[in-house]
Amino acid sequence: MTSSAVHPSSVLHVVEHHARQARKTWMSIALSGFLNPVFTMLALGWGVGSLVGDVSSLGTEDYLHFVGPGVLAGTVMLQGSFFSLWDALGALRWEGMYKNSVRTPASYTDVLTGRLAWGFVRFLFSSSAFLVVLLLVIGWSGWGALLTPFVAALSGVATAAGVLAYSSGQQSDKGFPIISRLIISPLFVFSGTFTPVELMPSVISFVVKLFPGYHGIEITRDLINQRAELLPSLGHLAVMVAWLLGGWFVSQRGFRKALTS
Amino acid sequence: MITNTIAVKAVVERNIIFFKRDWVILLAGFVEPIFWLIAIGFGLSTFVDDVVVDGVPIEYTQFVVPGLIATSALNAAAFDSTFNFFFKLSHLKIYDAMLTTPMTIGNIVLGEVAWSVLRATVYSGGFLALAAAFGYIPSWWGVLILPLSALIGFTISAVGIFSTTFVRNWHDFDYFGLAIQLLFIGSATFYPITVYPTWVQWLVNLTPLYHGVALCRELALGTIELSDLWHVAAMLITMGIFGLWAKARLQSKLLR
Repeated sequence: MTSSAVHPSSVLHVVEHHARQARKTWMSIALSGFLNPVFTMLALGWGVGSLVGDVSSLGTEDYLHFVGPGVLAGTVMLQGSFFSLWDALGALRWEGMYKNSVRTPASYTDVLTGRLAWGFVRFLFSSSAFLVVLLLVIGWSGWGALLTPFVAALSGVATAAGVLAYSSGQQSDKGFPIISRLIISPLFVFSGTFTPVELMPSVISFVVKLFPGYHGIEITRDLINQRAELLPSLGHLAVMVAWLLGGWFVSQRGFRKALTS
Repeated sequence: MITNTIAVKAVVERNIIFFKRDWVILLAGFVEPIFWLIAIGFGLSTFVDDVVVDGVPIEYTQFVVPGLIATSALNAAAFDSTFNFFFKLSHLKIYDAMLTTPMTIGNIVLGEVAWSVLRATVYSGGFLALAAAFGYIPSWWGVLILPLSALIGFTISAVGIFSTTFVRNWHDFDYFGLAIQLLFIGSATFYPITVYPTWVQWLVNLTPLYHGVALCRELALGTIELSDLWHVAAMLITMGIFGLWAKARLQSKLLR
């Protein structure tokens, strides 16, 4: 169907398609979404952590409590970005699945919504697995910690929606290496993943606050360290939701052009 | 048969022509360690204590910079000798085409390695110059970091090409992503190797990048000793074994 209407059952079919596909590719999701960040967290948390003397500027018990949640949410941000680059272009243009989907009662908006919904589910799984390791290492840190996979997955899907707004309009992957190395990579390093944003030059700290990744990391860190407050958290959530909705809305254009013409 | 020099030149030239169109990608690869430098200089160094190397306390940024120079060579060489090599081997079939000319497999491997080495040296060299300008290379021994980068590039490239001969499809590269991250973070880049338990220290000594990082740091600080030649030897041995092995494996892969 070539309309833009949303049909919940069609959205679920798209999610199901990706879930079935993931039964073959779960290993690659586990390697990049779980093993890689777990290793990074442990190496930096213990390795660099052993060199940290004064934790006052971190506001956490030790460096592991700072970098652990940072890597948890930061990784999902990275995952969200890559989910919307080559992976998305492949699904949208190189493979036939999405093109065939719109010949069924599913609309292109269903395909878009289903893709992002699947992203949320995927990120929820990988960040939950990471959280288990994090809690094993730092110990139980309150019920709030159980919310962090949801927050991280939201920041991931918000990032994915933002990147998709760009990538869905692209004919080829020509610009992707630049996006990944000059925008995503610095955002990962500067969004408070490894070091407080407040210590960065003000230009950098201002810019990263415009993106959803930073807000996901902040909320995750507050929850793990049991210092989350209602108002700031709502602010962080609002930025992420705004990116998600904005990205979803703009991406419709790219999906319509790629799938219905 | 043609001489190695001509063959190497041909392979390197092909790469240069190819990247002339996509020079931005080359540049983008160079800036990545600079982001880390900023994050460490402004961030981590303010709450991480001095690191004691050979009994002398070293400021944290000073400690990390040589490690980043070495990883810069890793970034350059690892990408060319794995993803790009596989693409040329299995999709573009460039090597099949090259083998219809008088070129041999040895020529091709050497040529691709030479290109990786060139890229690694340019990346690390650029970073070295930047680090020196900011005063992070206090010793004149630091000049030797340039040939060291070439050696790191050589070693990583030999291991990379060897590993790539085992790759079946693009999904296998997810293991490579993990391996590269392990090398980047784990090779005593961000903290001294003594942080690890003894058995892990032994393991790290078996990995190629660690020796490059260690040597780079000694050179930058001017604390180099004769015994550090062990690191050079370790890299040369790794390079030799994996380089020759890669050649043998390609021989059976391409000449069927």
